[in-house]
Amino acid sequence: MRISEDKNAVFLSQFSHLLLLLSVTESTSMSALSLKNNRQLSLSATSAQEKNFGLSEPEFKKLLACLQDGDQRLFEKVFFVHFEDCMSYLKRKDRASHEDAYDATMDAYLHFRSLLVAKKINYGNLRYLLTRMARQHFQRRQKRGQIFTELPDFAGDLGEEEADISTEDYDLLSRAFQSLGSDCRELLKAFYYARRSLKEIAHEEARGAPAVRKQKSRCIATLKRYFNQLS
Amino acid sequence: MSTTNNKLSNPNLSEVEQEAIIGTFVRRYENERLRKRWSHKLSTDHQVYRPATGIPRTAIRKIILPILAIAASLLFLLAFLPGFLQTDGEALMASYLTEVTIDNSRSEPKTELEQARAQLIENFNSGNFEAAVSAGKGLMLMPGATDEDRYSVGLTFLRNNNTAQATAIFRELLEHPTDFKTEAHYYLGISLLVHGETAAGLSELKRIKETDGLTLHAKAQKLLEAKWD
Repeated sequence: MRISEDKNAVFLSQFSHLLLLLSVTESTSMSALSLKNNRQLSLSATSAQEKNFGLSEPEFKKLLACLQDGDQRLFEKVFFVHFEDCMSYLKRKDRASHEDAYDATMDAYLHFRSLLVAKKINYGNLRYLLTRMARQHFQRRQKRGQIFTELPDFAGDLGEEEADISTEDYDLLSRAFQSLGSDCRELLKAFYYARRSLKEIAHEEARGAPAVRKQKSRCIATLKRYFNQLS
Repeated sequence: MSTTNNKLSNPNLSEVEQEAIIGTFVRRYENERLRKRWSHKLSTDHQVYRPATGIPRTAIRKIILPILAIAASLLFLLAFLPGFLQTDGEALMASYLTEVTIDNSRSEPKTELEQARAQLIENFNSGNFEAAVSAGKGLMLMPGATDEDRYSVGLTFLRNNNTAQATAIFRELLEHPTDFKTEAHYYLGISLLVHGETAAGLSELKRIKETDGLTLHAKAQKLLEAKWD
């Protein structure tokens, strides 16, 4: 449900930037606050869980572990319940159409998952962060200009260079990637997508890290060869 | 930022550039797969679909657009009649009030709460405010009622001329942090104005800043600039 009263909410200030950046980079857990008695602690814990989609901090850690293992199910269970709320928020605050709200929310969820996997998000106020990310993704899709550019940019949050891949090259790489053996695909996925180190992968497979490093090099060389053949 | 055009084939491609290209590709590729999986799960498990599930486009063209065109024409005429809307606060307020709708873009109601919500919206949007109020009262008693529900019920009371109840609900909304703060200030102001408490109503409207939302701020400003007896 949303209220379609005409409005174009633009209420971000320097303060909200600060809050958002704090959410990304520093944990602002309620438990860090000084509390006088048990009742306050209980209330704070509840409040913290409300801000974090009902997750307690240990549950949040479990969620991270699942994602790093490539298991999306817990993430989906916790966050999908709020997908429609997030869409409604965009519709209400930014007058987004149903389709635009859906796409921006989906983008934000994918981005949010990536940040979680990269351990760039701490337990604090996940609800606020995810909602803000959805608004930013909506802004990007709309390219609505200066007003929304005040929103913090999450593009660099992963702290790595993202290459600009043309659609044609992406299609060729996709075909080349699908031609790789499943071992190579899984290795590249574990390293680049699940962001596990070669050492971790080697440990899980009871192999030496140098052997995994060599395998990764071979996989990339094969991928490039397939790509060149298809080009 | 680099581009892959002709680069992945370049034998002199640096390790860093290659890592960036392959890493970006794998993340994008896997994200696209995940997007498809999530779209499927959202539609099957949560009944959330990308295509709009509301009124068909043909219906919009045939019914709603002509109505909107007529309404826009009327508003245009009214706005340019000298001294009509710009000077008469009550008329301006009334025109703003009639614009309010509650839109339901959610999926088929299943729970008792969702059914009460849907009933409120249906009655509200069909102009049956009395029935909407009745549904709203029931909704407010339900434990899962949200701030958005309270806000909707507040609007319902307001449109049904139960301004005292509307005022109470909007004030209650403002007692705690909420996404509906701006709307609550705005409609609390309107409720007070309708109730005849002009000074208090205008005082509420003054609280709305430009950064709270351009449209509501603009409306509040017009109401503040209008003449009030």
